[in-house]
Amino acid sequence: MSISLVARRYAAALREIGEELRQLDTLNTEISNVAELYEGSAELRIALESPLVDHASKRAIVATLAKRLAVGQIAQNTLALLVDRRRIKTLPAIAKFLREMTDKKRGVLRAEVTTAVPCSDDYYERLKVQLEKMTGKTVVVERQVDPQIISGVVTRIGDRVFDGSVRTRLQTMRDMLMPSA
Amino acid sequence: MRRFRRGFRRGVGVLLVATAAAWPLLSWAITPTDHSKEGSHAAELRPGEALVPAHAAEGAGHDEHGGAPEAINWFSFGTKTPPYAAMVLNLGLLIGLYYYFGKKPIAQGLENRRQGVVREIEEAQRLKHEAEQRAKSYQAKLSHLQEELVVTRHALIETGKGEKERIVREAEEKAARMQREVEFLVEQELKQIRQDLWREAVELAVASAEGVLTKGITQADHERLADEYLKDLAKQPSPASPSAGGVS
Repeated sequence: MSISLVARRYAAALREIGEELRQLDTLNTEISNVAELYEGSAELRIALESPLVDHASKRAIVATLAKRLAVGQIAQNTLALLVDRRRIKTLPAIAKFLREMTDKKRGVLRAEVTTAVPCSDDYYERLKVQLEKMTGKTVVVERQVDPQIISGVVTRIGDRVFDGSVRTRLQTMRDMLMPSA
Repeated sequence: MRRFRRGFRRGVGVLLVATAAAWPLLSWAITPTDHSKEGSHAAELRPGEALVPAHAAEGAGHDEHGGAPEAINWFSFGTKTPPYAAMVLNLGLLIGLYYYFGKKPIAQGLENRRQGVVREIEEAQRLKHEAEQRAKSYQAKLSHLQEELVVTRHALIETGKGEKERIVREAEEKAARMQREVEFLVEQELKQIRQDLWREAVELAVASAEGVLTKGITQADHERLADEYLKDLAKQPSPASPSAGGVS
């Protein structure tokens, strides 16, 4: 069974539990925080995925992690379950699908906005308004900085990309100037 | 009739041979006893007599009448001389056996030999005829040799001219073809070089522009581009439209 399918099922179960307990936002935030930490730490990934580390140690690591991040009981149980079922590798995907499901339920779109340098909050607010106007839905802007785009802005909403970067303009110019083969 | 004559001749021949062969036997069968005129022990050979050992003849002559030969022993066995009739019969049987068993192979061999000789004669005649024909042909050729030389020379000259024209024509065609190929290759090479140069120039220009922009762009430029981005987004189609893509 693919990781995507497994993660989607876990995410659906978490969404139902969160809705029942009216803790969907909290649960979403906690799972996202743990997933972010898991993705960001190679040592943690190795420790939790390695077959050389025994099951009790993995449970202890997860419990310590949950305690330090101060996650709730549901999130702790979820992490323990993933360790027991050897599905901890799907945690980032679960967090992603849970976030998407939550956003979809609430009519929220996540816009990944990339700029070469950080912009002002006012600009992000104006961009958010513009994107909401375009899409007709509530937009949550996730800010990212990437100097590789030189300048300009790149916005990704789902599978749609609004590319206003200088790098893309240079690339377009280069393609236009290149002789046909 | 012819067969009868041939058989008759053959029979006469056989009889003559048998007679000639039997003559010495006859001499053998007759033992001479007259030794009065013999002065020595040596044997003497006379016409019509068989060679007899001298001492045997001498011994035999002491008991018989002097001078006259003994009668021919025709049929009695056990005497000094074998019976003449038995020897003639024996000889006849031998000749008959020879004739009976040797007739066919000898005739066949002679026939084969005759046919071989005939074939050799025919082959020799054929060779002789061919040689004569060749000799006639050579004679005729020799008589027209000068004319043939002229004709041959003319034909060779014409052939040489045609060959020369063909070689020249092929060489010209080949040269033209090679020239076309070379021109095409040069054109392709030039086109490729032109494209490579152009591509390199574009790459350099873009890389240079990227460097200049990276170094020279200011915060004001970032803000201006961000504002332009917002304006471009405002021009984007409504959310119902399925199109997606950049604003640049």
